[in-house]
Amino acid sequence: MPTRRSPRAEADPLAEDPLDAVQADRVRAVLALGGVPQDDLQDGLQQVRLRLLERRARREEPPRDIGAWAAVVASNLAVDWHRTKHRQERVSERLSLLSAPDAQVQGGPEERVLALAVAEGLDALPAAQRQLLVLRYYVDLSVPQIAEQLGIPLGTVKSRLYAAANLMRERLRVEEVA
Amino acid sequence: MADHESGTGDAAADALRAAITDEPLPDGALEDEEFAADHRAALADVAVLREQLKMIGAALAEPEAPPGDPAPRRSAGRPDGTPGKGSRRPRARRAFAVGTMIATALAGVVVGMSWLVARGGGDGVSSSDASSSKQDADGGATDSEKAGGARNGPIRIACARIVVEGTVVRVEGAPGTRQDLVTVDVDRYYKPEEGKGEITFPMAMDAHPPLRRGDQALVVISGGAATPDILTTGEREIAYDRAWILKALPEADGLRCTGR
Repeated sequence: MPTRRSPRAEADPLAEDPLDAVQADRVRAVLALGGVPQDDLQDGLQQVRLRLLERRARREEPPRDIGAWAAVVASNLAVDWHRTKHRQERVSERLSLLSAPDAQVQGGPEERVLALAVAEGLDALPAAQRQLLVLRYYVDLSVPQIAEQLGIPLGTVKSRLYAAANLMRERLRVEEVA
Repeated sequence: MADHESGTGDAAADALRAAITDEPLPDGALEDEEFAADHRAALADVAVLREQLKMIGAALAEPEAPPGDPAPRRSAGRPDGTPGKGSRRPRARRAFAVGTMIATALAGVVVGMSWLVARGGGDGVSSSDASSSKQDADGGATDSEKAGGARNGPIRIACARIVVEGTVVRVEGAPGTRQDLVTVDVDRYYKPEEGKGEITFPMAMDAHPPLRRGDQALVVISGGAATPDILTTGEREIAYDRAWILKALPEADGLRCTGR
């Protein structure tokens, strides 16, 4: 049987990535905020791409908002990461590596301390609350959108968001006092 | 965070709930000064949370930059060159930047293209008549092909996200695209050391000859790509690729590809 060398999709102008660059970046961020390790972000992004292509293959209607849909899929993947006990990465640890003065975290020392406090708060949240917090305040989905996308009751979304936000507020208030 | 000391009890909780859900407040709610203050504080806190999550998400989603002082990565070691089962290799926090490795995806593409040229072109066609190509006693490839693999192998593997061997179990077209979705039942992981039983990836429909269910395949997908850089079928060709991959794996272990 002959060897085959497949050209990369980037070299084929007619091959298409189902996500644009902005959507892909947002997926990576949602995965990272959900505790998926840095080394696994590309795998996670690939899984989201595949889910979209599989939808097309099954001739399902495309999502109304592909970016929001992809972010929700990514958040579910991050929750699954916790459940299947894949290697998790604490957001606060990763962020502390980036917190050198010349690194990607912008702002002065106070900003970095605040960011680390938020990151530690994220790490402390149960996976389900963390997911909703990221979808609400990073992806900017409304509460009804989150309920619809995840298929859970509106009241459940509200109560989990409340618990998560309350915990974050308490943690940040402790940081202020300290 | 907000300076206001938010109150305790139901009023503060209601104020936070209202801030979280963005629902309209009941008529007259803001006439209650305490509630109004709690609500303002909650809105301010939510705004800070949103701002911080955006910044943290952007920072985490960026690929790692090479450090100022390099340190070697620990290697799990492969005494016999075969990948092992078990826990993932421990990763040092600092990457080891190699001077000759240009830490960009573009370098990976250039290496990839030269590899494709050395292997007989990027059109994916190779004659099924082995006698038409120059084969040496190793039965794998020409000297130039082997030289190309040996020279670029560690870089190629360092930049690879997945390197596996397995059997094609499904090829289905994705309507509205010019891609097939190919699923491979993985028999052997080279990189990472272990993973899921199946992998699925898109591939251009015009790959020739077409993949079929039952084909044995060796697949290499680099870090920033959706489709494979290398997809090899054929027992002899797979054996050739397997040999340079096994040789390159320990060398690649000390390298870090920082392109996306």
